[in-house]
Amino acid sequence: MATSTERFARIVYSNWPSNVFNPLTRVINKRMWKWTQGVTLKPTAKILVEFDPWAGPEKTISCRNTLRMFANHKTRKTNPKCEITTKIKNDRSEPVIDIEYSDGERLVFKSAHLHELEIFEKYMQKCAEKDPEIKLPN
Amino acid sequence: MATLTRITSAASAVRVVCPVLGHRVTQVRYRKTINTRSKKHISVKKAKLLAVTQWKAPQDSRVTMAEKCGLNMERMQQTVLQENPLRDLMAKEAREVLETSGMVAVLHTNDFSGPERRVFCTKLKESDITVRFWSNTVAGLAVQNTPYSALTTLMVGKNLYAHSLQPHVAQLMKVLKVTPQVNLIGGLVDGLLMSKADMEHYAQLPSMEQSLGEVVSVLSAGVGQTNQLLLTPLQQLSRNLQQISSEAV
Repeated sequence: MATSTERFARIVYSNWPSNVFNPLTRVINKRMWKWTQGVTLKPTAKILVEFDPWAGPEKTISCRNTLRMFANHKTRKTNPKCEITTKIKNDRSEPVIDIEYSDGERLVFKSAHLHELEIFEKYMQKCAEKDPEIKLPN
Repeated sequence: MATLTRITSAASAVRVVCPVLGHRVTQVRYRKTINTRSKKHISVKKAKLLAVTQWKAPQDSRVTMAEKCGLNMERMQQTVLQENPLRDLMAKEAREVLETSGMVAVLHTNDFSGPERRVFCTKLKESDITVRFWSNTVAGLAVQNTPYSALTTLMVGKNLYAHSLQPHVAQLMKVLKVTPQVNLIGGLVDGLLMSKADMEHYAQLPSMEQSLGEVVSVLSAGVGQTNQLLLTPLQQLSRNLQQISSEAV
């Protein structure tokens, strides 16, 4: 669950660019680093990330950071067959992350008001249900 | 306070005798000397306990309820802006690039480093497109107080900036097709803010010379048609007169 510190950092972005220096980026990155160490794509077949970059930084930040983490070369090594596609829209719609697992089950995140840690948490919980060898990071 | 009283023994040990309690409390030291010069550091546990016992001033509650409820949000939204001359210099350079370039494309990158990045930059350099790796802070400062401040909506996550003097959008699109780690999200072309779809449409437009030629041909087509309509009866008349004169002869 995203803590108050992560949610605080979200508020900081709403006043951009006056608050140019965000002292909590390190906190976010340190915690996210722990999660990215254990993120796997083994049970997933496809990931589709759709977002409109002009919809606003508050809505797209989670989506873009999640995409960066999924497309990381270490994460991709866990399952090279997993397709990761990016669709950039221009209709001011909200960002969507559509994950399709190998057994056909789909998991859709409407990530406008979600933190990337929450997305990873839910995603990894589903992965752990499908594959018992996957361990959740603490 | 314990004083050191050297009591010789076969083991060359040192007995520390407390003058108050005398022989009732003794400690045997099996080391050479006591360290009396450098200060011993306080252990973490002791330091924590000492910190807990420190007196804390009570919170100043001389504010109204409304201010109390709103004050927290203000404090949360305040951030520290540290002075960084390098950042300001880079922002100044970025602003100059923004003002002088015909095209500035904002690209979203995933995992892009090392040889892939070098190949990407080299391919773009062939079309006179330069790639810059500015942070969101620097780019935001460059765009502040300009007509293009709306670009700040794109400044989230990790971005690259590809700029050129002339708007070589078609060449940029060709290279991006071959580079899946990089996605175009928008940009500034000829002083206009554009989305990805707008830039793709711009890339498909013909060149300026071609467009001018088309405009000239469209304008001259009407004039040519009028000219032909006016000249056709005269030409017909002259042909008929020639025919009559040849028959008469």
